[in-house]
Amino acid sequence: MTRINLPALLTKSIGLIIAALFSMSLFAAIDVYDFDSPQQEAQYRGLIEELRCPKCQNQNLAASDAPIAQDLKQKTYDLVKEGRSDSEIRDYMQERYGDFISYKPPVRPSTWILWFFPPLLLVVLIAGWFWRAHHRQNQAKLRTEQQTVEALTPSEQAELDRLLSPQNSAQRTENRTKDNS
Amino acid sequence: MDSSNQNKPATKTMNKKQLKVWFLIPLLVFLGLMVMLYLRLGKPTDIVTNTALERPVPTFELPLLSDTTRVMSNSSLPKQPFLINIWGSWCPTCIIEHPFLMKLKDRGVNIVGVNYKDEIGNALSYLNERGDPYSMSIQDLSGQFALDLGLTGAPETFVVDSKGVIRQHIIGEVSEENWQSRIAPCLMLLNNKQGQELDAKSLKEACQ
Repeated sequence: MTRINLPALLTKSIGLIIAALFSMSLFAAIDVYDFDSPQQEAQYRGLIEELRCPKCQNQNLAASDAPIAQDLKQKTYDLVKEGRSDSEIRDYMQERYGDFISYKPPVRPSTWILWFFPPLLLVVLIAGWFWRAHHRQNQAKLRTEQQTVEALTPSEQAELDRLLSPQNSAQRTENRTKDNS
Repeated sequence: MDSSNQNKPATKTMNKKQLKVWFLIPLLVFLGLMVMLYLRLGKPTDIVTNTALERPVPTFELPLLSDTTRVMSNSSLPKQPFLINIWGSWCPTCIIEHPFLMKLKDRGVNIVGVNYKDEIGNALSYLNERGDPYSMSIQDLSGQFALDLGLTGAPETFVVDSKGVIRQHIIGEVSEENWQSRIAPCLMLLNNKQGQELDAKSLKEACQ
């Protein structure tokens, strides 16, 4: 009997399509380069993330498909395969394309402001913040001290007692009624 | 009692004055930014990577385009100041640039061509069709020589002095405009000062 099992066929073909899609996306994600070791691949990936495409200004080599970016990726791959170190490859690129090639500029007098200004600013801000907090605390302390110093003297206390005494208040209400009349 | 009452308003007004100063800071920062941004208006935003400057032409051993059995090297380069032009038959801007290069050839400018990642058949028919402005063209199939030069994309042109040191790097096409404003002054200086020591200041002025 040549009856076709339709549901089974359907699931099979759907599975095949999904598998095909998967393999295609895998192909898209992986370059055609073969590496000797996972370390080499990690080194290559790190470098193409860090190196900038000289043609496209704001993309790294990993993100760019410009012809020169492809060439530089190929070159990076070749150098990695040769067993060159990260710094050797960086130097190789920098010799040809200058500081611009790397998103990690080297530390030297002309780039000091780039490297040291942000931490310096942070330090200054933290110092300023501490200073202000300290200053405020001092002021608060000063204020409480002033208050204790200016506690009532015995004569003032007597005056206050006199003013608050029931007799006095009675007198005051009397005065008020007088004023009203 | 009275003295403490007077003290409080005094500290309060001081705080207010301090606050006013603090409020001024963002305004000043804003004004600074405005000035900075205004000064950059209309200026080119591209970062120019002319790093091949002040370096000798990288060593190379590449075949001559017109006769690939002959291998050219640094010693085959002209002993007078000249231009290196990177080109390819596949490169649209090179086609736009080409007529001007022919004009430069007529004006007696020595241009060495580097045929960059091209097929030799296409390259030769390109020169046959449009004329050959180059004193010679070398074949850079792999693009390694261009990479050593610091190429970002064809066409690019380098001005080289009589000692084989690169003095100027032009990204993009050469035209009457940048020829008059940039390249000719540099080339003239290099021609006039052949064999003499070049002083950094005049070099910087002429060969930016």
